[in-house]
Amino acid sequence: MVQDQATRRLPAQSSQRALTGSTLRKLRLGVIEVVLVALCLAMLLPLVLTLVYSVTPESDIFNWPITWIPTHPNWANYVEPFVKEHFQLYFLNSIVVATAQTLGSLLFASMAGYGLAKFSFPGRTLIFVFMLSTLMMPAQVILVPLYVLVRQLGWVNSFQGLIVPGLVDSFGIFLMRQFALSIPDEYLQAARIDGASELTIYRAIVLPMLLPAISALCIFTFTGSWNQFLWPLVVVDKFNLWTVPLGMTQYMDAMVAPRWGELMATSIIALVPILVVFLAAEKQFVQGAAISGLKG
Amino acid sequence: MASVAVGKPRLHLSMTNRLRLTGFLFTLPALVFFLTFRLYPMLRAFQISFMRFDFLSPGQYVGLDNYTQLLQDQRVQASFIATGEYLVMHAVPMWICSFIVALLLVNPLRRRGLYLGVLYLPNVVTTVVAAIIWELLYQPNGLMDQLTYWLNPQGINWLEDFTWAMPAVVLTSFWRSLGFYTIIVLAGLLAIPQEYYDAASIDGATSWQRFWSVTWPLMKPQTLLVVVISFIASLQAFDAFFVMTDGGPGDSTRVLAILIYDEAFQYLRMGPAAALSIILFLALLILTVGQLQLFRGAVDEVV
Repeated sequence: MVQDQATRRLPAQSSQRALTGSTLRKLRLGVIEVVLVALCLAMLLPLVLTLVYSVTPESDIFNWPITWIPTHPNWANYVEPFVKEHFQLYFLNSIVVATAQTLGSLLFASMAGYGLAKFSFPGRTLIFVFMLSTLMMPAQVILVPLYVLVRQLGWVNSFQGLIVPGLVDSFGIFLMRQFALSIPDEYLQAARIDGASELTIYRAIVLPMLLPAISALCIFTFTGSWNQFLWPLVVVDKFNLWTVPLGMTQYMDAMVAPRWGELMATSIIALVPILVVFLAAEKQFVQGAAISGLKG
Repeated sequence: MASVAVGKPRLHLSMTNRLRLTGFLFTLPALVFFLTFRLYPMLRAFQISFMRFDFLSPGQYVGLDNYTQLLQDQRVQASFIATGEYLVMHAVPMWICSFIVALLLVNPLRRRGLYLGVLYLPNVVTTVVAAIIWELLYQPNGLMDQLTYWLNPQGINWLEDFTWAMPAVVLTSFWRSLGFYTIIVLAGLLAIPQEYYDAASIDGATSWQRFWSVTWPLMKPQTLLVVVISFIASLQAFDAFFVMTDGGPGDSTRVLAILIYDEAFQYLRMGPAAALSIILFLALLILTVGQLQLFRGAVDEVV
């Protein structure tokens, strides 16, 4: 969607100043490119340093100037977190939580988005506005009562407690509804006349047509879930249920003096799953962010 | 049809009613979720804010006590100031910077996709990981000290300095979210038809005039969105503060989100914590309504 517009826009801006105009424009574009390259390098710097520090021996971390290429890479930094801490477990927990929340979000959001977009029933607008309004509510507002509720349900220190309160988010429903609006009614009608059940229509017609939105939401929910910190911090205090971010902060707190090399190595490992997803589906990331800013 | 043959009475609905029911049933699971895990806690927050409640004993209504005590509490005042500082230092520059970067990117650049990807990359970094990375950069003799050596050779203990702790956290979250806001603005810019600019040029508009008469008015929905999202995000900023400063030094970075967490889960004072979150909610409501008034007309286009 955005990509199409991007390529369409390529023809240069209008040229009122014919000859000098083109040189001027080239110069202007050149300056812009330089600014952007500088900005990109600045954005990359912390990540490059993380990579460097992750193999730097502890004694060389605060060298002046920075040792960009460690002469004796300390690969043990990548092993220690797994030996001394249970990071393999934290990864597993993070994967379980993120996967469950992604699947749940996809299922419920696609159903609700379809229901809200393609059927009219009393209260439809009210329901949509209500769901959308929670998008504007900071997590802290309901943090305390949500914890009280989860405690009453007996879900403290459990996967249910980690997963269920974040199972559906309003952004997903908004996204699915905007996409479902563009499904032609004729398709649905034709299927109904052919005697297809409503569930078949949803599965065989609606879901395939929602696929671009589904892949964007999939990535969004997975990364959002992977990043989650406040809720796991509140609801889980047994290490066997810690997720990666929680494990990292606890690991850091447990150190007498921070072992930065190990922390950076853990950071890199924590980034790998997300980076893989990002590089494989950068377009969806960008589109997802763009869609949230465009009317559907 | 089959209903007669089976003999059991079946619900006979007209086509319209059947469709109504189907649509409602599709929406129902999500609706139940929102009622249980969003609306109910919201109402419960009001109730708990009038109670003394710590799990150890049954809750007890205390009227407005929680609110009156909070308003006299110095830490609450400090947290309002810290939250306000964060809002001003983070959100406002973010609107300007994301607009500027998007205006640069809207030019016909060959490597636009690459720039966009790199700018967005920090946004996929887990907030906690980002905070730990930047905490290292702010350590004595770390990158920040080395970069600012020519300004201040003694170095600054960034995260333990009353003046610098807040800007240090702001820069971290700024780094993480610039790309996200830039993409929202850029998508809006790219959606403006080229013909509008051509028409303006034919009428002899300078690029400055083109910006104010074409770009700016058409960008209102995106601007609104960036303003609203950045406000909400600023008010709930937690992770970076928790990892990097934990409210310190003193109470200089104890933003509302941190204070609520401390009250509820360090001191188990659920009542005051809930009252604080209600105050946060009301503040946000007022701000959002104000923003919607400011951007009247743009709202219909967003929803």
